[in-house]
Amino acid sequence: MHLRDLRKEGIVNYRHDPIDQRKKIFYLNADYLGSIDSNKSKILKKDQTKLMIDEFIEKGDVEYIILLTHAFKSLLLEFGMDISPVLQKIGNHIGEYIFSQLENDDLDVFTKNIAQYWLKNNLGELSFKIGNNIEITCIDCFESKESPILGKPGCHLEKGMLEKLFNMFFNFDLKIDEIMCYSMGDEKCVYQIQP
Amino acid sequence: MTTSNPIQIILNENKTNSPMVNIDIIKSPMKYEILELLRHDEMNFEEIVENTSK
Repeated sequence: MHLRDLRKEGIVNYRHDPIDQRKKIFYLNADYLGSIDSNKSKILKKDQTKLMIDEFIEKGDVEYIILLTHAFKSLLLEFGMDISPVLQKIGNHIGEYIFSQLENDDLDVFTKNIAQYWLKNNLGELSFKIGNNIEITCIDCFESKESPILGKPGCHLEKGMLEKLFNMFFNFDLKIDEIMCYSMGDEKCVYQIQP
Repeated sequence: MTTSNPIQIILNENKTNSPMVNIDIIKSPMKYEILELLRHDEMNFEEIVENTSK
């Protein structure tokens, strides 16, 4: 019955066995994209994923890691899969890792360090407007500059990185929104950070 | 401790009734088992029955 349902849905199909025509050989007739098993995620120790990402970043250079993740995102998008929450989490991990290299008690120095880091790693040209909220503009954003216009913000990795950097600086959770983006047809990406 | 059944995500371009969404989410444990077998290799009906014990 289950097999029949899967065939009706077009997920599996069959052909007759060339040796014995009475037998049906079943095969997958659709693309298997993956599975989600929350029981498996419990097998991983709490910090194991974070440690793996840290180790990966330590062994390679950050620009490479970011571009690799970005390429992975594009490949998944070809299947129509949007993994933006995962990308934002990876961005958080990267942000947490690079915070120690960029931290400074002075917000102006801290933002200058971030801007330099972005430039050095070809991630884009950042500028900061600091008032009641913090507005961050990114020109030539690595994540969306070449992106087709999708009508919604597309820089989840960068958003995650910036989110973590500022959360760690202020030592509490801030709200970050991407209000302009190349993938929305804008000529820059703009983030707004507010308490 | 509560456990939940795993799910599979299938890109199914053979659907004609929903041209916009081609993703199938398989939640049934038995269908899951069948697809786990077939994603590695094709299999005849008897083997599927034998491997799924149904």
